[in-house]
Amino acid sequence: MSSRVPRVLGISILLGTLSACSFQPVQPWEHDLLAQKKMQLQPSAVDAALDEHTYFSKEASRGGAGAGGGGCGCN
Amino acid sequence: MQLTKKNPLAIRQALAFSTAALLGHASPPAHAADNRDWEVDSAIMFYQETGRVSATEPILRLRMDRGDDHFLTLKFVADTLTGASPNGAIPTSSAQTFSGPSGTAGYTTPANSVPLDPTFHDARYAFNAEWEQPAGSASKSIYGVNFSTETDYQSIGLSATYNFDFNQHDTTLTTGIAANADSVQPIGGTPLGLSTVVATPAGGGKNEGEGGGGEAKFNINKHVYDLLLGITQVMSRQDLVQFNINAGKESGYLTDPYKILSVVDTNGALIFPDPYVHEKRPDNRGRMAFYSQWSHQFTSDVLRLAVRHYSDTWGISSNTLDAHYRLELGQRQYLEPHYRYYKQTAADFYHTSLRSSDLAGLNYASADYRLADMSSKTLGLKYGLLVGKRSEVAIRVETITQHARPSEVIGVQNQQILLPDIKASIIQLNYSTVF
Amino acid sequence: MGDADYTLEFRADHWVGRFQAMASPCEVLMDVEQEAQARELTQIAHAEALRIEHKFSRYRQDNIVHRIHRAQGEAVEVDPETAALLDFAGQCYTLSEGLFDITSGVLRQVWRFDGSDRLPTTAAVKKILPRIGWEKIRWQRPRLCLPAGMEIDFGGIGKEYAVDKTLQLLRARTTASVLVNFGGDLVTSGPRRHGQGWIVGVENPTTVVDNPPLQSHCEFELNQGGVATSGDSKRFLLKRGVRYSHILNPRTGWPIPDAPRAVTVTAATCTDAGILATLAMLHGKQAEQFLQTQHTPYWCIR
Repeated sequence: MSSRVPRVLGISILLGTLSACSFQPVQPWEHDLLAQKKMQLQPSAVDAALDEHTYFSKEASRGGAGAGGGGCGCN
Repeated sequence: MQLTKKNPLAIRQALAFSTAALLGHASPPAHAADNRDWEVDSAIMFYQETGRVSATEPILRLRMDRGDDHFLTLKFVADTLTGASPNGAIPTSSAQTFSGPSGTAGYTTPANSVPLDPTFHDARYAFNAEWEQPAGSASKSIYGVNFSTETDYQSIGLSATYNFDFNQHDTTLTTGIAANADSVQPIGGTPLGLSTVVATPAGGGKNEGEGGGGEAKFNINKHVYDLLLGITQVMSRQDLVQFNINAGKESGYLTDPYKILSVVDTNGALIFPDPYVHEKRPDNRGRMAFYSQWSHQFTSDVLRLAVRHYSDTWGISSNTLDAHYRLELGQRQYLEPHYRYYKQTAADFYHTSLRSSDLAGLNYASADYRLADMSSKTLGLKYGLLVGKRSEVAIRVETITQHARPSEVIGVQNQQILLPDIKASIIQLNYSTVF
Repeated sequence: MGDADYTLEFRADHWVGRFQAMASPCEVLMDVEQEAQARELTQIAHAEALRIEHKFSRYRQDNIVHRIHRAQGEAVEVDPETAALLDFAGQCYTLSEGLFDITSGVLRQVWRFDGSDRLPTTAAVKKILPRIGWEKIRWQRPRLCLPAGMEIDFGGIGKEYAVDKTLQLLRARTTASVLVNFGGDLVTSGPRRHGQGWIVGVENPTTVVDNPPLQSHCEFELNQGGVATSGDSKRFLLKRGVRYSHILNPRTGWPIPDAPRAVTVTAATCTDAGILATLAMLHGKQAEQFLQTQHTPYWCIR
């Protein structure tokens, strides 16, 4: 039983930390920079597609940035 | 209603003149968003591995605004591969002769060289369409289909992604699913995994399927499923972070029908008379990727950092660091250095070569260097120039160096560089515009 | 309301001036550094908003609208600005084949859109109809003859007109990018210093009712031109599950069936955007179909 106490404590400390660092919301008018193409998650869709295909064919790992994508017999 | 029977577009134009008169303008002001936008992104990539494959890969992407936040995106990719690719066998002190896939022309590899299959060439065409539409007040759904075809490989896939915004669009939750059904038609049939590659003389015409126990199956399937959960958070006016979890499952024929392994004696030398076996991989693979990305805008430059941790049920685990820094050169030009570092552990069944004594006890084996303990490093630079108001041209130059480590160096193999580094260079030209 | 009734605030890299006019919160976003300049621009915008409100409000006793209504069928000579608005209203009437009619305001006497279920009787609506119809007006610049019992109401175009007019005045004072927003109808003079537009949120009326603060349906970047919304977020009647939109058909006196809850349109000016949004609402079920043919970005909320 005694081992459960620290775990509960751990979770509450974690939650406390999360709420303590809850940041100020960024107002809609502050989304101006984020609306720029260079601030998009993938600023160049074609670069991202070519890179994904290149590394898929040369390495054993795949995925992470998105789900899906065309199959390829190259690996 | 009556309005739509006339030329409907005339309403907006006539209105523009009426408004100009009302506001005392000489003529209606130009409307930047006059017509809904078509974004065009295109690129052509030239890829060259020193002494090995080269590829030319053009890509075209169209994103069409269909009004009311509906978008249709179409993507076309062609990929032409020529050159030589490692067949999995190790280099030895004497020349080696291999038969081509089932009766096609064989080839001979000189002594002390990595055996490369020179018949390796193919063309791949891929098409992808995505439809994006709002779903409820603060969310959107994206549905996708994709097809691709090569000589011996076809793939068809479906995907669906759902994005939900809250916190005044500061937070976006993403869920996505994707399924792909692939079919492989190995040239000359599907070899039986771990069976002996039957030697045919160079240029010979004997079907290895007959004597070597190859299965004469010509169409085999592979299924790939993906599930994605992600959160994107605006941290400040300059910061955007994303965290994704991507789980995947692959099942069916996951083996490379053209890859073989060298079988050696206790001293590391090829056994006689049949020194090669076909590779065989498990027919299931579960994988998991944790991905996170941070974009930060300085005064105008942008740093984009991504890290990924990946692991799968084949025993491979990898870490990736991907960094881009976009350096603005005034208003119309930029330079973007790119650094990427990737490191993976070997698959449980990766063997640079196989001891003949171990062969009987093995379920799976592959000598594909892409399943080895391996790292790769990318250095790149992109230069972009804005042309006019809404177009951009760019050139990208990159080098990729891959360094793989053998699972084991047996006896005389220490006289060979079993897995020499692979160097590739990329030159890519981009053009994008909006009209 | 005095000139001091505005506030100024600096946000990161631009100034925001705020005031109340035309029964709406109004704001001016200015891509300038100096507070003095921001103050001057805000004062100009505030004064212009109040001027247009005073001049064209139907609730005042001292303006041109009151003079026209009081004339009881006699001809009234109007000033050039009113004449331009009347010309414009006439053109909108023609373009919309009678659906957009500034004389339809008298329907307010029987329709009260307060969210209740109190619908007028068919007879009451029928009684009003003879007092509606732009074609019954005699308008020959600069003289207007409005039959007794009829009314004109610039409410459907006044706010958008004020937005565009205000931008004109501000443009004469600065080359910096400004955005004029009167109660959600807005216009911008052009891209900002860093080349980007202003980020504009489209409100969703279904969430605005329950959750007033800033719940935008979506956001987009406005580089140029105007945006206007026509909607019935709070102005509707609900009876036996049928929602009666405040968008009335001037020919029948009854609400347009199946009108969207809100339509937001972008166009070259705020006035254009406002008319297109209203015309879309008047198309009821075919609103999206109409907007599709106009080749301009829009958001339609049902």
